[in-house]
Amino acid sequence: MTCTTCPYCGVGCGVIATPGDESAPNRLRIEGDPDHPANQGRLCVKGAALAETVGLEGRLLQPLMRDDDGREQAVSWDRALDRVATDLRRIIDQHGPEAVAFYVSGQLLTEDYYVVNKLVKGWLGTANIDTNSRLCMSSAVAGHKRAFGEDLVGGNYQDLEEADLVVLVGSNTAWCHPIVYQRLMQSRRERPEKRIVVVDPRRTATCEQADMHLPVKAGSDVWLFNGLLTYLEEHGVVDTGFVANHTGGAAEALAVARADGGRLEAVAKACGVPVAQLQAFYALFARTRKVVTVFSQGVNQSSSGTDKVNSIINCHLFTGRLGEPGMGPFSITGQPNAMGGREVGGLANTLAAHLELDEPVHRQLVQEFWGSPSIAREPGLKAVDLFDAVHDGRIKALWVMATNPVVSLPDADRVRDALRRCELLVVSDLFADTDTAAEARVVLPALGWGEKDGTVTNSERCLSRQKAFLPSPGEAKPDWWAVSEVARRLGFEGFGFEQPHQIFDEHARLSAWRNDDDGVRRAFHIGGLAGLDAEGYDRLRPCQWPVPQAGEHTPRLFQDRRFFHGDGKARLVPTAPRAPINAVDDEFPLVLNTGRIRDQWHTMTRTGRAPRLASHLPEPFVEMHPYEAMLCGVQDGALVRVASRWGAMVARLRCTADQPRRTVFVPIHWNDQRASDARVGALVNPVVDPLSGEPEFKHTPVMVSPFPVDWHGVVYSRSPLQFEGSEAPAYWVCIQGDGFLRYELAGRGRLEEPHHWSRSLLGFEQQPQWLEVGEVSAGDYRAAALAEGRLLACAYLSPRAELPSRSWLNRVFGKERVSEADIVGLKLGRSVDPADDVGATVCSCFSVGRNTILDAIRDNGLTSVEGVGRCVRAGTNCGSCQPEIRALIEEARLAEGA
Amino acid sequence: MKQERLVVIGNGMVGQKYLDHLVADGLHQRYQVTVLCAESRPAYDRVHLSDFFTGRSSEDLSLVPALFFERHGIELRLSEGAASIDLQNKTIRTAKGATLDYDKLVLATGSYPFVPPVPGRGRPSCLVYRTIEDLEAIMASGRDAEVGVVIGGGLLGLEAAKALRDIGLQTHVVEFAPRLMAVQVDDGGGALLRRKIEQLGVFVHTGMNTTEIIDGEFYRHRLNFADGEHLEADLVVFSAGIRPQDTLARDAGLAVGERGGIVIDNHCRTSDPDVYAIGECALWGGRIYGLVAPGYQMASAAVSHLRHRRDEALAVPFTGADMSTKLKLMGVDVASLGDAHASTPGACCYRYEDERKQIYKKLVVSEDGRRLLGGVLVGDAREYNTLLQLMLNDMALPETPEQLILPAARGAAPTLDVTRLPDSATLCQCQNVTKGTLCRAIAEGHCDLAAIKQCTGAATGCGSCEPLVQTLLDTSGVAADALTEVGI
Ligand SMILES: Cc1cc2nc3c(=O)[nH]c(=O)nc-3n(C[C@H](O)[C@H](O)[C@H](O)COP(=O)(O)OP(=O)(O)OC[C@H]3O[C@@H](n4cnc5c(N)ncnc54)[C@H](O)[C@@H]3O)c2cc1C
Ligand code: SF4
Ligand code: SF4
Repeated sequence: MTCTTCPYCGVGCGVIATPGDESAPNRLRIEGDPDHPANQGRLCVKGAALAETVGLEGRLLQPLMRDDDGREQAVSWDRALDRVATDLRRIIDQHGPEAVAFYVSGQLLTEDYYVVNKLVKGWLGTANIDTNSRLCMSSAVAGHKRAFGEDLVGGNYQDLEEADLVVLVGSNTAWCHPIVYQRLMQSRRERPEKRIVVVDPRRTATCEQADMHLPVKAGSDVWLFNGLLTYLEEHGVVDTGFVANHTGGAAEALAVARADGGRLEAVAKACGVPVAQLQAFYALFARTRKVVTVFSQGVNQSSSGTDKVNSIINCHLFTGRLGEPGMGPFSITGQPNAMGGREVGGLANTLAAHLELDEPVHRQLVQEFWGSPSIAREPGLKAVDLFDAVHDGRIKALWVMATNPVVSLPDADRVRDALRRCELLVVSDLFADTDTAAEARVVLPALGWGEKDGTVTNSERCLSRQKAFLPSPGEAKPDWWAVSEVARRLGFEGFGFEQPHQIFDEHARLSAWRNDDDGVRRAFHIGGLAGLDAEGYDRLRPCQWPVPQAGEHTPRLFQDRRFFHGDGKARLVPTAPRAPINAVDDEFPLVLNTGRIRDQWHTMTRTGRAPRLASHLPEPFVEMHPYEAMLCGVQDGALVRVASRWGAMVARLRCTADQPRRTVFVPIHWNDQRASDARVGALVNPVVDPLSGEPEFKHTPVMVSPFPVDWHGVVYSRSPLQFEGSEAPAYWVCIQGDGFLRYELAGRGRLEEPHHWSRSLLGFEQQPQWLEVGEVSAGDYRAAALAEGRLLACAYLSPRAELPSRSWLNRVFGKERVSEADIVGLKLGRSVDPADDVGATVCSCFSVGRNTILDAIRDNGLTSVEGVGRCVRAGTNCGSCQPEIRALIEEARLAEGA
Repeated sequence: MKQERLVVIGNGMVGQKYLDHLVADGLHQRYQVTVLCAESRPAYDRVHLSDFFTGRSSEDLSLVPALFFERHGIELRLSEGAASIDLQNKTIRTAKGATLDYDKLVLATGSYPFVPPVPGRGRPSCLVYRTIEDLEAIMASGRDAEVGVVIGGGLLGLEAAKALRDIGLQTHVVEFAPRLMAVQVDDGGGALLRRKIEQLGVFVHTGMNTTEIIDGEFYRHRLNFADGEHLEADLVVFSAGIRPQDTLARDAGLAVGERGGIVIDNHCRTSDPDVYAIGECALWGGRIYGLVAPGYQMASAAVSHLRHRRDEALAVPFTGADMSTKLKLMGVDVASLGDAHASTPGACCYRYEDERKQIYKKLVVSEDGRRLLGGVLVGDAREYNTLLQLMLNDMALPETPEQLILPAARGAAPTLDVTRLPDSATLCQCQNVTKGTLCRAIAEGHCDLAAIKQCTGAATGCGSCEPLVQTLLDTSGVAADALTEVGI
């Protein structure tokens, strides 16, 4: 039994992992840790499915090298590391240290982060290290620094419970931070008078339980909060003493806020909400002292993200609502260890341990502590710029760790192009087949969750251990080890780490180093955790920093009203609202917004492997308002092409009135390994916030058009399929099932000889049992391969979108032996087994059962009666069952949100 | 003998139902039938008009089977309204200047939306909501609009609000009365309805009297209200009630009511015995029926009279209709039965409200508590059919009538005992199908829902009667099984 931490979201839930015993060595048991302050025993669906994602399938077990022609060779660590070190040395000698860069991730443990950051900033002497946290919360970092003088999240999850009003801004908490959401809802059940307001252009699952949903226009948050600040001032809701004694800049911030936020009507127009609703929200905020404002990507991912953050913090500073239970601005991060990365300073514009690059005193302090030969003096390149520099050859060597920028960065096709141009691309990852690793010269096998050992910090400053309870597979090694080895090969001292606790100790000591009034006082202080030996490190219980002395935790900051600007005061920052950089026009009339869905995580390299998670919204999709769809000439449930000036993708259309007009939503998760053409990153405009460098993921002008296809198909296989060149269908997506893979396909032109096509695709030239119905009427083709009564593969192709129920096929594929009825069913393309409950007849014209319809809705993410009609024909004749179908869609939607 | 000429003016829902009955009875062969239709397309389903915004096309909404007119030799003149009627000479002038003779004339001109005389009502993108053209105008105007407002919070106003929301506008409803759907629901129901509708993101303003519409500062229009408040919007839809389309009749000299409507008798005859009026243009017993079911009954009565014109006693008359309705407004079930406001002297009420589940139910019973007079259901209208049958068939209420609306403590809610219903009870209001007809169909061997639907047409309209039809099927099935068991 091991106490560790969930690796998925920034909530950072404690997990107890119990590896299987002798009798069932593979049966890992996962439970919530009842003693962890973040979750107190709860787990969300992603956390609970952790056991399903630790399998070794597809894992990279040995270092790989590729030559110029892309030939791949497994090599020893020594060879791989020598190669990395030699090439780095050569590139540095020829082009200087600025030609080298690192791109790391919020998935790294603090220890990994620390070592990389130390190497880059202290020994290579550059600051070209950035992280994918840039993409999710760097605006929060920049905003915190401007307001508090340091990157600080003052409150904790308990504050959300104790607050009388919780404002969730641009945060689909229900899906993205499920446990925080559950805690919030639980507290509301206990205190029904508590109010929850959601500020979000989309009507997300989070809105369903909210008291008020402000459907503000994308990008209008600064108007909203400037308006609030003005309202507070006008109504005398101000903590005068606090503002006078503990803040600066209030007058300037107010003057700017008043310029745009002075008239309620103007704010209402800018935000696209009615005056009365705005007023109601302002009044509620004004009269509620215990208010927490939670924000995340929806606020951060914008070209004015930092200003948005400050406009929120301004309102809390103005009313003195922070530093006490149940109040304060609260940034919630997307990644498990985004905070850890911030603490070690693993960003291009920070130094280390909450110290700054541009402060000579800070630089001196860190260099002294490290005893390093040099120290970075200027900010390095931030994510988007960094890949630009790779593209134009300024950066020649790049080491990517635990992230998949080809999928996740804006203008992602250009990113891929950049990687191809890079002289030395090193990728440390669990898998050799990610879209990014596929381009690498050297691929290093990293450790996954349950194998690696270190610490992480969640969104409430809670530092906890992630521990190894599984053996390291093959030759996989910790990232800190690989980096230290390269550092040693480059002749650098200070990288003699043998175990993670040594790194943690150094990190803790640095945080305490001259952390006083004579040196540089900073909140980040975990000196109390220095000096832990391996055993003490293993026994470390979750604690919230600062931990200046052993045993002293700090659940809440700012209680002493002290901030970390030179004068000890906080700042209100003037935030003049700015429109997003790229405006829509006639050619690209819609705004693309991107985000996450509940059961997938980042680019699916892990969650895509769990059947349970893959079954919720299995295909890449675009959400759009039905009326907008009508204007674009596209149909619900059909394939569409979404294009921007930067790239294009293909996905299935889901019409939903929850999506505001003139906008579309696309989830970020799909990659080239899982779908033909579904990386939304390729479309996103490479535009960033000038202060934080965070890309504008929530606002790219796009157009949507039909993606016409002539046939549809679904293929099940026990092993991965390879689509070769011209044989590849125009559209495919691969969905992980329980012991099989499901491919949804669609293609252009007539599929000549489908039996040849499917046999060669499935590799079953001589199968023991090959049931083939062949071309039935209207170009339908059905085939299935069996061996000893077990299904090996099946293929259904049709010119219409009517294909067999996937839920039913999933069940048949799960069976060790298929029945006679199943075989008949496979031939007919629908269940004939009476045990397979199709449910009460809903559509009597075509005798379609309730369960069949529900399955179709879930399988295909259908949202309209028309979509259901296209899939299973129900409701397309007399239409009198349409109200019932509509109710089933609603039922499925509610179940989905639950 | 020269075939007599029958002219139908108006091809709306009721006009088309008239033609359906005519054809069903074979009367179209006895008359030379001409239909004047002011709209550019033949009859369509106005009741489901708002589905147009969720993807149903005008073809989907059509009520006319393919080739209906051709096959039955009925002449349809589209986009050609009647301009005047000469009762003396029995002629009609059409809007295109043609003259038609008639022997029998049917007026099915329906109604038109009432636009209150608010200054500024004629501004562009100030629209109404009745025809497909209106919807197209709303859609076109909604393309660049952000905020829409509906003036009128009645049944149609809420339908219109749904449409505006369906096209993604920030939507407001402005109602003069202190509550929504003032005619159909009481204060309690109206308050709950309002809460539910506001949760769906529609903003409701009651007790508001719009005094003028002028240029807006932030949006196209600004509505000023009597109390000094105002509201800005890009698009305004008037839904302040309907007025019978009786100008033709009035000009021709037919008797019309004081507040409009063509006066008809029990056979739907107007003051001229050769002219009938049916549907929303007709005034029967001093009232206009603004629902489709009564109009359908008029259509059937008028055809029946035409068929039995030589022996009027055989004709099935129109004797008034029940105005109970059940609808789903933006996903909220709302039903109103009979005397919803308990205005019958001595009437008593039972009310049940669940704020958590957001359900409001009210029963109105007679003084002696034995008869159901009316009711209101909001949030959950499952009992509608049971209550409607109890009321229409004047059936005795249980000892404790409240159990009809209270949630069942355990198990299923008390359902209506269909076997107790008289054969004359109309189960499907839309298609006017009685229990007797259904039982006959079942006896003839139509023993599943699909077959019953096909044979009788029941449950193919709004569908609300389907559960009852199913119960009827189930219970008769039991009886039939029992017979087989004993070997008969
Ligand atoms: C949005 C909406 C929702 C509704 N929902 C419901 C509901 O849920 N339940 C319910 O029971 N009822 C509902 N109704 C009411 C129902 O639609 C009407 O009761 C029904 O349409 C009346 O039928 P009608 O034939 O009398 O009139 P209409 O359907 O209005 O048809 C009259 C036709 O006559 C034409 N006409 C008029 N003058 C002339 C002329 N001089 N020459 C030729 N043609 C002419 C008109 O253009 C029109 O096409 C709703 C109505 C609307 C608009
Ligand atoms: S809420 Fe986040 S940290 Fe907690 S179990 Fe779920 S994914 Fe893991
Ligand atoms: S609605 Fe028809 S299509 Fe469906 S069952 Fe009915 S009846 Fe059919």
